[in-house]
Amino acid sequence: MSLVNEFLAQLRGFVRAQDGDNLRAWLQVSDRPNPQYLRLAQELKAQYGGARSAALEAVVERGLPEEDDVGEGKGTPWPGFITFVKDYFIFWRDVDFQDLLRAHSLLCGLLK
Amino acid sequence: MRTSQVSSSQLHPPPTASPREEGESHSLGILFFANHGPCPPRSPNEHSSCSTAFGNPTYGGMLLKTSMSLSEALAQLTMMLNKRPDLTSRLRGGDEESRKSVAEMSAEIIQKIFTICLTDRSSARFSMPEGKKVGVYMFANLVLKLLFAVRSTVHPFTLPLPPLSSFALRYLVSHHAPFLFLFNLSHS
Repeated sequence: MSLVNEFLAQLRGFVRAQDGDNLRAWLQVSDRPNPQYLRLAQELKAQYGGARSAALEAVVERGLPEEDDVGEGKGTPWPGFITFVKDYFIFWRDVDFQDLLRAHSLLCGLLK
Repeated sequence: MRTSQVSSSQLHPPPTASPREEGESHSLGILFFANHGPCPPRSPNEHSSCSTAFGNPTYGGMLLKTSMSLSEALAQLTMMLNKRPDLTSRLRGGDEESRKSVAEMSAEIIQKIFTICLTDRSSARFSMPEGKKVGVYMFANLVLKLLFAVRSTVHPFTLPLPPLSSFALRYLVSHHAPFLFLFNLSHS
């Protein structure tokens, strides 16, 4: 399983459990990231760069399906969250922390 | 750290971030930027991302801590850029209104998330804050910290907040919201 799909599987589990703590822990942004985020970024560049951005959107939608029958106390990915995760992947695909202005612009786009 | 039910062969849980603690409330005026100039350029098809997801009334609350974490990262990056006028001078150009500092851009974005917290209706007006409203003072403190750090000028307007008890003021001092406490002290 690719890193992207594994990452999505984790996020899906946290959303279903409405686990905000783990969502925060995994949806990191740092100029000194954990090495797995660097590997994630490399995979995103290699497989979803340039013209393959649409494929990234499809992968995220497959990995975070909206569920119709949500149990009591459980959650489901919602459209805004799916879009946010796609943008989060785009951030890691495109960010270069040596270019502070570009990093700031990307982070603004992710957050606003 | 808890893990999901799905096993990961390649991924390991990242280091646990320190959890944010809840705040309390009292009436307080806050100065914010009212200078709504141009934001970082976006294409016509672009949309807001984290703030939109966070604004979902049903599930957005689970992104409170993520939004705070990303906002803190944005504030740190902004303060790094503030020390690099050689880089930020490239942003300056055009007429006076189109010039917008990196700090102003960042503060405007964090303020948007602050507003989502403020308008959350999951807790009653004079009750202990719940859900997104817990983040009101944390985001307000973050914006003030950013503005103080870059010594930005502001176009003030006041924004009424839920009431703060005297206990909450002591809480703000001891729980990482000193800028909000100092602001309240200077304007009370």
